[in-house]
Amino acid sequence: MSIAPPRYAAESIVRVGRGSRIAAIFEREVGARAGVGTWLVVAFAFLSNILVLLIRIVIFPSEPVGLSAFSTPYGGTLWPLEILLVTAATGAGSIAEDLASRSITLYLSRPIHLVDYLGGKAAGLAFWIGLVAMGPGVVAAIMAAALGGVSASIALSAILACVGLGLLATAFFTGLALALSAWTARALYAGVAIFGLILGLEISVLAIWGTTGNAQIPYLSVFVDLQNVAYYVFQSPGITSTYPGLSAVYVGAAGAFLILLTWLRLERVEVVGE
Amino acid sequence: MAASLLDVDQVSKSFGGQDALVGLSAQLAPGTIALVGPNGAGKTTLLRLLLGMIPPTTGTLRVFGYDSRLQPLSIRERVGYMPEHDCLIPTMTAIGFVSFMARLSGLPKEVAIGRAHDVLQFVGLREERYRKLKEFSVGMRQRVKLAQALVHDPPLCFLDEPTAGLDPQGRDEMLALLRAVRNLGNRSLILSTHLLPDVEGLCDQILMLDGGRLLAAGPLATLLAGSDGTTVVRFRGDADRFGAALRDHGLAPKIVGNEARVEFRDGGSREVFQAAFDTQTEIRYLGRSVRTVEDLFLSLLDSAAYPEAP
Repeated sequence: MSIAPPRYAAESIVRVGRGSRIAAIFEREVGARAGVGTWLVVAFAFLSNILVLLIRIVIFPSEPVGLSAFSTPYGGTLWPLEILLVTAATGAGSIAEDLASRSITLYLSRPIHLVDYLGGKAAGLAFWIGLVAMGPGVVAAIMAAALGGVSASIALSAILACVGLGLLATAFFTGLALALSAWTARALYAGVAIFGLILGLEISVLAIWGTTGNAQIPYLSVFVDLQNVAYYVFQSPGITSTYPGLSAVYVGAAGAFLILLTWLRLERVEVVGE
Repeated sequence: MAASLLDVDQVSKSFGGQDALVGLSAQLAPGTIALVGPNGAGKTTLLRLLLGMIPPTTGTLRVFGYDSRLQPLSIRERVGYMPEHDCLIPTMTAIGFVSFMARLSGLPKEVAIGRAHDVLQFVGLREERYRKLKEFSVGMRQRVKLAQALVHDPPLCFLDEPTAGLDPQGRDEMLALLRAVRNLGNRSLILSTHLLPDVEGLCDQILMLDGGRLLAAGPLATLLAGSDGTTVVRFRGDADRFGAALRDHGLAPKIVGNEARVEFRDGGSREVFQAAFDTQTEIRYLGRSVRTVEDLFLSLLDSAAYPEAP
């Protein structure tokens, strides 16, 4: 049997647009990040947050159960830590692996722009980070309504609040992962940097705040900012001393800045292998 | 669309003050083009400029009439690129990787998968297509790189050092594959290499670079034809008598063994045949001296005089 070279009529195939090419990168990214570590973090986040919410709302409800009851997991540090974990698990290798294998050259030799590559990568990471940031709250709200713990209108408000808060957290942590992953060809370094930067920032903010007592210092903490926004969207009573709008702007602007930083960085590594 | 495949006009490219290309101008027609020069000559830089992956410092480049700076996606849709360096995603299977690259080139998912199967068969990796790329040998990885460059059926392929790192058998197999690609028809290849023997028998045009400067560009046959008018005569007979007879007819032969090199204008072969007749010598071959690509490259290097760097 002879092996005939493939002959195609290129013009007969209708090429799909840039959106489909970005979707291909998104699909690849989602699949590539679906490791055991990622699934463990996702499973832990869902179980822990749903359990906390159901205990608070359905099993041991305090009368009356309102929207504020859903703020329980978001008021502590467990939720942002889980997001940090999934960010490190999925984001560390996102661009670093392409730099290490130099496959980024092949990506950029195809008919896509750098922004398309970055968009596909960001969407893939956002899928996993958003799953942890929004998923448990949304599922818990649906379960709470189904079990009769809250009314449908409260459950819907809780879902909207979870999505809004989750989108903000997703934007920031996606930007963080991309920026640090684009800075090195070693995924391990990027993972350590993701943890080191956020935890270092939290510890520093706490230390400086404890020393100076300056009320503006906590706004530098991403965890505190997300808590501020959480208290606001879930209408938690007694939390009136913060400016949630300011916190939301800080976190959103930081996420946008980090994505811009990533783009600027990748503009410079186009000539990798030169 | 312009008739020429490539149109490079006064292109210079610097990286941090280091000149990679200097005032390069060339026009090349469709065909199989060798882009030759030593390491650091600017070959890879030129390919990336043509793909629009990096902008030129000055000048313009056109591929199929598309400006590399303004219409890079139009160029990349029509070009397959096989980089010199390793660039595969080690955790992917060969079929997954090649079909992924096809999708990035704009092929629908089902079409991409079908073509990935075809092209992996073509490069001889049918049996290995479901294995992870990290398990592949150097030769197999080169084939995957070629497959991903061909999978979207581009009318032009940039092949950067396709035989680099291969053992002699692997090199022969890769060159055979490239000949098969060339013979598909309606497909142009740009073969970037510093291995000059790879060029002969495969390419019909050549673009020679050295130190970022153009040494020569044009049809290979024209450039390789002996410019000194030397004719090679291979014969069977007495070399001394034949040499003396040639001298009697006004020629100045240089004889080594059974081969004589003589210089004459058109029509001078008559004296050669007369000398052979006079000495009962059998002419077994008579033709113009043809240089190898290496001869041409070395002679151009010798004649090139670049200004000293400040």
